Amino acid sequence: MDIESSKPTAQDPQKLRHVGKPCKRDDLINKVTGKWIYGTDFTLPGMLYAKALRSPYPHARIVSIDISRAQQFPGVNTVITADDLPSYRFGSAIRDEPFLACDKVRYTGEPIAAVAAISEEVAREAIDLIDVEYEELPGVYDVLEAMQPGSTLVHEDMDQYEMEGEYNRCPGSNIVGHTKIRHGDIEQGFLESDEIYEDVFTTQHVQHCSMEPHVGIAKIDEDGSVTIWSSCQSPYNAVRDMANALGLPYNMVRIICTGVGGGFGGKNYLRVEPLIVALAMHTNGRPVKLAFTRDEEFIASVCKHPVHLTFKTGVKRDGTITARKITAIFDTGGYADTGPLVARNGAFSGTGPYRIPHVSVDSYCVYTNNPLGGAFRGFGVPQLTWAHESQMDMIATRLNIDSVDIRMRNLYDLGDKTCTGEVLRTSVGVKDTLHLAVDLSNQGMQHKISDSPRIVRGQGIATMHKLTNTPSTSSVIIKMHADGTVNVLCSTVELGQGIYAALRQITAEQLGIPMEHVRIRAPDTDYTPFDQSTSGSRSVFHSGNALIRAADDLTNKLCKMAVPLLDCPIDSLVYNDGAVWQKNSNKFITAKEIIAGHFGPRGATVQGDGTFTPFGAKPPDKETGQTPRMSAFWMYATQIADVEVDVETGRIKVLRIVAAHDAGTIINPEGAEGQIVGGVVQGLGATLCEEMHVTEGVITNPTFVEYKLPTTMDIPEIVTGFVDSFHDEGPFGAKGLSEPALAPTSAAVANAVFNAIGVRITSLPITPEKILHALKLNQIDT
Amino acid sequence: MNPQEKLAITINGETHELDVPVNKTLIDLIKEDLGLIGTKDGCRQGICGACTVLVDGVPIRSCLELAVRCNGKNVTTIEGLRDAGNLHPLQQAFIDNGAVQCGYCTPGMLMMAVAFLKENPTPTEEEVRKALIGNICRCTGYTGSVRAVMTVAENQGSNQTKSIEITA
Repeated sequence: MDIESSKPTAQDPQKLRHVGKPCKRDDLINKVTGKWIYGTDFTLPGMLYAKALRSPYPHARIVSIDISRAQQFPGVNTVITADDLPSYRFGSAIRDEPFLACDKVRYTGEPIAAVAAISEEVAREAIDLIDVEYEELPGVYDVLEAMQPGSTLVHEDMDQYEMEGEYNRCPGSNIVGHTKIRHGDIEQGFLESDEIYEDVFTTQHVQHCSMEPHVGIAKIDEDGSVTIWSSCQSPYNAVRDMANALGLPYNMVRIICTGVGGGFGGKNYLRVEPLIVALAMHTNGRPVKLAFTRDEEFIASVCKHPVHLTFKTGVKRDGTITARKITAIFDTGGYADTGPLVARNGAFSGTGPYRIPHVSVDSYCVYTNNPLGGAFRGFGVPQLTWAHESQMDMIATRLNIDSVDIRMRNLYDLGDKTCTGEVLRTSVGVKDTLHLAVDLSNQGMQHKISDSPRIVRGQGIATMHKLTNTPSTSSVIIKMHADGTVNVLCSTVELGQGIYAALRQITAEQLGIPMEHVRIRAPDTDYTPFDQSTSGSRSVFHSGNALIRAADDLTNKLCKMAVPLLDCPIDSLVYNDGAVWQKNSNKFITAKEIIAGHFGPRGATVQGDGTFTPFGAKPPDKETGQTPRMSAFWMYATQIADVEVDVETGRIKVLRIVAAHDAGTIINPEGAEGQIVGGVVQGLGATLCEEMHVTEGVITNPTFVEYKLPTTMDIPEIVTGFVDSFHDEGPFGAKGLSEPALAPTSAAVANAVFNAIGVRITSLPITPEKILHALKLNQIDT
Repeated sequence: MNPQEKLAITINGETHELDVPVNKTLIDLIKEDLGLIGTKDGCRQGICGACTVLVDGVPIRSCLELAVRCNGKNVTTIEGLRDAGNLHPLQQAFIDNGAVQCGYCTPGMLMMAVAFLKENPTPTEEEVRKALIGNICRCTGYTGSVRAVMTVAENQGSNQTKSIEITA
């Protein structure tokens, strides 16, 4: 496959009509009137409803299962266990997960049997009639313990599983992935340091809490083909992973995307689909639907990996970082899901956006009997950002250097080389984000300043960078109808983030047609071409570039068709503004007239095809993590938090978050701001109040009553800004922006708390109990 | 098989007479029996607010309300918010103020906002936030919804739009 470079569209920003301008999304009217059809609303004739029986134990052998009472319950169509299935296993990085547990269960909530019935109520009652005998096994719940030789093994047969990609798994242990970076000479780097600091940081299990749960409907046809109506984020991930699991050709698996009520990474890979496909194999063609309940969202889906982070950093006395050694241990739970990729991604961003000559990173993905870690907005980067930005301020304090100054001394400039060997040759706006954040924060705050003696104010800063999974590919088809309007066929999924508006803007801009003439709707893999995934903040860059190529292809075809109609040679023709023109004249013919002129009065559709893969990407070296191009683009951000701490209760009130981002050219300003504001609030949730309480593998707060999400009363003033930045390979110079929004927030708040009361919290979330405990310890010390 | 009861219920101005199982929730009645998909099921525990509808003008968590308790009552769902084909001012304001991303929380939040503004047509921003505290949104960060409600309240107050009445 040829990997071509893309031409940047270096248009004069003054002449742009759609890109960068306000643009109304065309899905909102259906959403405010309740007409948007989500997966949970979807029904099909003859449809059955599924429920899964889930293990109450985190680690247990299945001694026996008796489904006979459930099978006889009126209204039940089928009951299955692993015995009714070939030994299918699925998984995006390693195929370690059975459709239904076969020998033992490895996490609380693992499905071991499933029922399809005429209603949800019948299915629920039938599940209660399944009798299971378990033999509980000792489990491993501490990720550090799980790494030790001699630890209880979660997967004794790890080496038997097929693995996509090379993640340095370690059979005979619980280590399913190990990413390394070796850059420079770490021991030399520490020798050159004036001071060396080693600090430990931890993060917690966080749940996506998309408002719409995971949901899907599966149907198997007589020819064995599988169709899944799915609320997934990435239909081609589902095609590949399901086809590989079932041993089917890819064209025998069809994913039809329904409307999605939030994803945040949780719907990026298979989760509900194996269960419904397994049942649909036994229902004689009747479709099977499963929608997770809210507690299944906590117990049975994936969450954000908790990470144990050790940062050893060597610095000169003036704050220059000379060496950084990181050990990151990701707790991926009973099955890997995409854990090895998350640990890898975190590693490659882990040092922070800083110029460091000597770097050593070991990032491990480790099995335990805890809940499953998977893709979560940021994909490992928020956890590493928590560590590198907290430590940056700790070092600044120890050296008596200002927080902004120490960052300015070390932040990347254009042309710097990263610790993975990439020269940053375009669009490095991280210092600009810092300047912008400081400028914005110097403007007045809306909040009244409290004059209570128990309230102490503080301010903190954090900066970050993030890569996107590279290489990855997007293809689109622009189909122009006989009247000149277009459908864009594209497998990017609208999760709510506003991507369709941005892609419509790019299409309208390239074709010179009104926005109302461009329509994009949810993918169907039988018709829409490949898009790797709606993840990694990659969609504007990759699908946008594919669109530009598709528009070029379409307009080239229109020009060729116009040759006999305008009676001009091809090289005298140019497409502009919905028509083909003879250069240097007023002679033109519209697209509609071209199609009629070429095909006759009934016309036809004309398609433009575009595929984009970033050039120059090579897999990183297994031992050193080095590659000339780690990421298609790097995103940067700086956030500043202003907080009030109540020293008697430990409560933190966040007054304001200033968020300054480098996302390249902004295609849709309202959408971009919406992503930052929403991301900041999600980041605050992970910082202050969200935590899955996991005790010996059991989640004790799997409901919205006990798992606290931010509400309208928790939101601070949020000030957003975007720096001028142009990526020379991005569509109109754009990069990506959705994930960075929540990454620096936690450290900014922790740094603000330290600034206020001299207390350093190194584990998330930052709770009042931790604050009070730390204040008490401080008092004892003094 | 659960015992059934006769139910006469008016939904969005239309009266229906049905036999329903006594354990059927209002949300299931709305979605399954009447095919009105706009009301959303987010948690089935009365916390997230996505299922909010108005029963005799009062916001109710339809996931926790039994259908048979609504015998003889007037229910308004998101589908009943439009006025003769025109968007309700709050619906338009949600579109105009970045209050909608995935949209799953939107119907419930709109119904709560409608009931709130009827009771308190000139709220402060703090009062709007308190009113919407029981509607969880994971996408937008809430600032757009609060702004939308304030905008409609201000427009109502200055008589730029006719006052908002709904049939419930």
